[in-house]
Amino acid sequence: MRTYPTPDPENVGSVPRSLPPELLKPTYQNRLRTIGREIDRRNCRSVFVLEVDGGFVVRAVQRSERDIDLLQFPDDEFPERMILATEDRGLGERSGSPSAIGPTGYEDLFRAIGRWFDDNHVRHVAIAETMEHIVLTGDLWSGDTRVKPFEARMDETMITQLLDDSFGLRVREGDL
Amino acid sequence: MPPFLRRKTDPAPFPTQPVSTNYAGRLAFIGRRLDEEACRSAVILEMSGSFIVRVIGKINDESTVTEVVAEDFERGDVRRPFKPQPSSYESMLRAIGAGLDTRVAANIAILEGSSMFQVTGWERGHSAGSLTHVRFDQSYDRPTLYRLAEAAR
Repeated sequence: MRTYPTPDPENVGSVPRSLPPELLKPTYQNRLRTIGREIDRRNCRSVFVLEVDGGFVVRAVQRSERDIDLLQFPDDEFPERMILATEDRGLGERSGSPSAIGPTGYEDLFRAIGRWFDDNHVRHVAIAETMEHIVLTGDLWSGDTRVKPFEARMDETMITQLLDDSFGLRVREGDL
Repeated sequence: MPPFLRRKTDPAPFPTQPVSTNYAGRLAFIGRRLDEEACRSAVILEMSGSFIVRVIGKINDESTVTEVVAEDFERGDVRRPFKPQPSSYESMLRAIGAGLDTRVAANIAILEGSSMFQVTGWERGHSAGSLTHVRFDQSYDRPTLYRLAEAAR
């Protein structure tokens, strides 16, 4: 099994002074964003994301080598991942996404999905990329603490709408 | 051992019977343990012959993650005096596994939703004239899966 590379402590210490505190909140949007970025960086596809206690386990296929990776993203390393992602901002633009489903890459796609999870008070999530859909499952938590399992199958049109909404919100919020 | 995962170390009670090494046998083995735990929303992720299994408890709504490895299957499974119901995890996962065996599948993943099971993985196929493994996806709604499980009893 492969693990997420531990950031260099010296680099972690150089927290960008302009890093908005909102980015360090362990929301689904922020955590999934950093996971998506790592998947983009590794040029992976066919992604399966599973939330477990204390973080996420991700299975993905490297496009070039066709090797299957099992990646771990512990929540306690999330701040470092976000800091590194922010430091690399602008360097992550890619010529093409390995996923036909997420045309601008997994970082944008998972960020948008994460925002949807946050807005809908979801827990215990899983994300499966199929050839034509993104399948989401989890538990919806309502105000009376009742839990309702949910599933969603998002096709290209729904994903495009989700990304458009996410981009629109980011523009209005100053592109955090 | 990844820090997220815990291994189940409880050996199967005697007498035992061997677990088939195909998907039908291994997934039925996993399903039987899920039936014993009163859980829901199962996710099964294969990696190098092992299976990461995450479930949500029906009582406490908390998640549990275990890893089922080759030695767990090799220890065998306890004989049972009756056949499980078609709606049991054991029956449903056995039916899914039979389909995977027919495909000659590899590196599979199973995601249980509220109304369906999503199965993804690789199956034997041709690409650019060569025999290889290609992606596949299959979704089973529960009524269909119950029928398949009933037929396999």
